[in-house]
Amino acid sequence: MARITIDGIAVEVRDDATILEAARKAGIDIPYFCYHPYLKPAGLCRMCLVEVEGMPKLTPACVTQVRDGMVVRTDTPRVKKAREGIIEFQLLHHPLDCPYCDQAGECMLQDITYRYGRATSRFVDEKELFPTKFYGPFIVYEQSRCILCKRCVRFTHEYMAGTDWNVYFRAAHSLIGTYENKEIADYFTCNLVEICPVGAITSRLYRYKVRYWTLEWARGVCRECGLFCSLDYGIRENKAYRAKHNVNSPGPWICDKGYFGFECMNHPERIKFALERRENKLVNVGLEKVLNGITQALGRYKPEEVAFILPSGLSVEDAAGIRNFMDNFGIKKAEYRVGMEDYLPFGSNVDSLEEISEARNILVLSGDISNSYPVIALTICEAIGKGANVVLLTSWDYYLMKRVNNLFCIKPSCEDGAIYSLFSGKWDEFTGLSREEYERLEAFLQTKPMIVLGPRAQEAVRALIVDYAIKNGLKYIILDRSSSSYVAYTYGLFCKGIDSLLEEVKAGSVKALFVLGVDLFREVPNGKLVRDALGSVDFMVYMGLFFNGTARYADYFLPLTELVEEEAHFVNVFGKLTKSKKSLAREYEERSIREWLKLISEKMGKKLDLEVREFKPKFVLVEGNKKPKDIVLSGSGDFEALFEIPFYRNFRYMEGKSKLLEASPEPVLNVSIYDARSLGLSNGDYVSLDIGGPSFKYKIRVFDELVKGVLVADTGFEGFPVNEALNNRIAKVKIKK
Amino acid sequence: MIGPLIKGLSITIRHLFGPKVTIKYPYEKRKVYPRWRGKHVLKLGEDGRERCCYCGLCEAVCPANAIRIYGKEDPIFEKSDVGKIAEIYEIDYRRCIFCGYCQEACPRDAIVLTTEYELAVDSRSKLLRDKEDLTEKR
Ligand code: SF4
Ligand code: SF4
Ligand code: SF4
Ligand code: SF4
Ligand code: FES
Repeated sequence: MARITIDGIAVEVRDDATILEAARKAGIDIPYFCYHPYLKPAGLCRMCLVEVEGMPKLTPACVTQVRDGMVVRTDTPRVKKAREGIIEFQLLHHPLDCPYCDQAGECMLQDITYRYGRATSRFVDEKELFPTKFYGPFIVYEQSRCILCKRCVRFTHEYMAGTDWNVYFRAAHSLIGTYENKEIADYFTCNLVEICPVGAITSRLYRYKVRYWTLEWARGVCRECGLFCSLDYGIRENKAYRAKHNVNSPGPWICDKGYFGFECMNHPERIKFALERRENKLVNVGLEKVLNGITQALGRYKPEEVAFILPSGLSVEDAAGIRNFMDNFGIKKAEYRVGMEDYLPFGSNVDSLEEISEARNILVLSGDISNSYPVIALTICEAIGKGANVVLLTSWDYYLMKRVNNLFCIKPSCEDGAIYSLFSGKWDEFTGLSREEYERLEAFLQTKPMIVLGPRAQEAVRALIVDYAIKNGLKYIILDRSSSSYVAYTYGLFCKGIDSLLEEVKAGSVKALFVLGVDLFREVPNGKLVRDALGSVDFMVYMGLFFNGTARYADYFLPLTELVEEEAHFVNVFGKLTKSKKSLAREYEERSIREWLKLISEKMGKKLDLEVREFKPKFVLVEGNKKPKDIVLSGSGDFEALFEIPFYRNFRYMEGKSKLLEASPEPVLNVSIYDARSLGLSNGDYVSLDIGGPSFKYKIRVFDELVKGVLVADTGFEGFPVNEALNNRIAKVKIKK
Repeated sequence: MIGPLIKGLSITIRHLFGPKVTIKYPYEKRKVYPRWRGKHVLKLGEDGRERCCYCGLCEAVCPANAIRIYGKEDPIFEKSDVGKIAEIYEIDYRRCIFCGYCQEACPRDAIVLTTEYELAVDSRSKLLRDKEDLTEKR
């Protein structure tokens, strides 16, 4: 610990702290632009100059380490003059178009100029102005406003390693951007908006809509993945216009899904009335009639003929409500695992993201972590930046594959086998790993790495890894595709898997379905089964925000609330509880899942208790000595294709998030460089993909890291029913030019 | 008793033949000073485009909370420094106190109080004036 005095106030700080950090602790305001608590100090802007006793020149506080007994002054005339000078230089070419600028009101340049600057400028030269640039669907870059603090560039380098957002040209000609103005939509682009202290990088979603000071801030929670990042939503007149990541929970950064994803709340196509089917159309007949209709219909079925299909991002309250409703009426069947994968066992013995970023060795297995848990992937990248050794064994992980130190890329159908063989200590040549690769992996396993297992892994693999990790004292995070596993599992909201449930519906043993906010056609990679099941279901209630393929089969549509329209608690992957407040008033008939169930239950004469008194998350450990199931590939052809929903479409209520969808406008087929060469394909070509019958048009993206013979194809587009040709995520396919 | 009556009548008779202080409104309009603060107008620039860029200052300064604005990107001019316009611009004359602060705050001389004072309408809702109504007609 070092004791230093700043403006007469004594503080005690860590030995490696900087003067700026000490000043923040002492409550003394030192203006800064380029300093950021989560970035490495850079000392670029010189805004933070202070006087240190014994040093002849002024010194930048953000890069100067404290020394015991140091005496710092920030209130001398020299410092004041220096600050005024720096600001005058900053404003030399600054357009000062605050009336237009979206940053106005939260702009550090405005604040600092107001507090420390001179009222007038002595420069009379004409300002140099540059045109606006749009880098992709999310980001507007206004070069004239850029103060070259390099915060954005440092963020991309320290955290997003491998994104070519950079400074181009030199000195006065410096400009920030991407090479050849390529668009940037790299999962975490929103952080550039957040981190830029001025209005040089602003969000296109928020662009020019409202002024910052008209917004009221409401604390909410993003429900896209199991981290449940806290977000503040900027609200004006009962509508959200903006998200902001003000709180460091669970980590300092967020991903685009959360930042741009609140758009569905305001979407013009959102349905806000309870609807009933009348001759092929869903019509508004009034709430009372809808409730009567539902209760009458439900009365016709036995409890075992009713089932629930649940969404990802379920709150504790909703899960409890569903459980109580099911108990009230003796309903047994519910399923949250709609991805047709093994979701169990899941869980982790890691407590926070920080623990991941501090890890020295990380073994990332299977995928697609960056798609399903983006911020975990970002934290892994942060660890790489801090010098960790990260090894990835997967067939597909768009973001991490380009960024890890060691990549072992295998075929999708071999993934489980390879991981299984690694952890059971027996090399198997059919897994696609060579003996030497296997030995390297095994040697890495001896370094006791943290294990992160992605959602594609099978139950046997999951159980084996949990077993192994516990026996050997390793840290592990076992992820699955649902963001609400803890609550859904704790309340027992699962049966035998979505495929067997849909089979039962098809066979007629389940006659009434409640589908809550899931578009089955998009989520279940077996569209034919979904179509058959929904076609033969007797009675179906769909709850959601938008009309979609699944809602087409519904007899009743009940509108749901979303994000800050209801109060809810969530449990994240680390088993921690987060709370989302209710800040928006409801406009029409939208209600949360539990409130709808309560209405229905009360109509049927049974009270539904919605209060959750306590919640203790629990999770299972399945026996660790099963063998992974063999994956039987359907179709024929020389290529093995993995079908995944791309990042910018993989979220709840996709229909209402048009800004995010712009980043993934058409289906892409990722081809390895070998196959691209032998087929004569290059980026941007169109091919058709033959999946045993129908063929689909795809745009080619050559992806260097993929193995030969493997394709990764997008699904989840409207009017693009790839899922219906599949019966699993992996299939054999042919390419036709 | 008769005294005050005569006094009163004499005043009446004097005013009957003296100069008039009332005017025949609405056939005749009262002249106001050029700095009179009446109904607002949203000015157009020399090029015919709206001057208001939705900086929000008038809205922020208005002591009566009479102004409500939302912005959007100008569909014609996409260059950022001239690219923002108001999508909704409303002044609520039920609330406005004609203080003129909005005019004072406006950095682009877009909102100006004119000398027009005839604001009476036959229903309250008509006192809410939208952008179309407020924009200068050329
Ligand atoms: S960056 Fe800040 S100072 Fe510059 S125009 Fe925008 S609000 Fe004004
Ligand atoms: S764009 Fe913003 S964050 Fe990046 S260097 Fe310029 S001012 Fe700094
Ligand atoms: S004149 Fe005064 S009260 Fe009326 S709109 Fe302007 S600022 Fe508000
Ligand atoms: S102050 Fe002027 S430019 Fe700004 S919003 Fe009001 S009228 Fe428009
Ligand atoms: S904050 Fe210290 S030099 Fe920028």
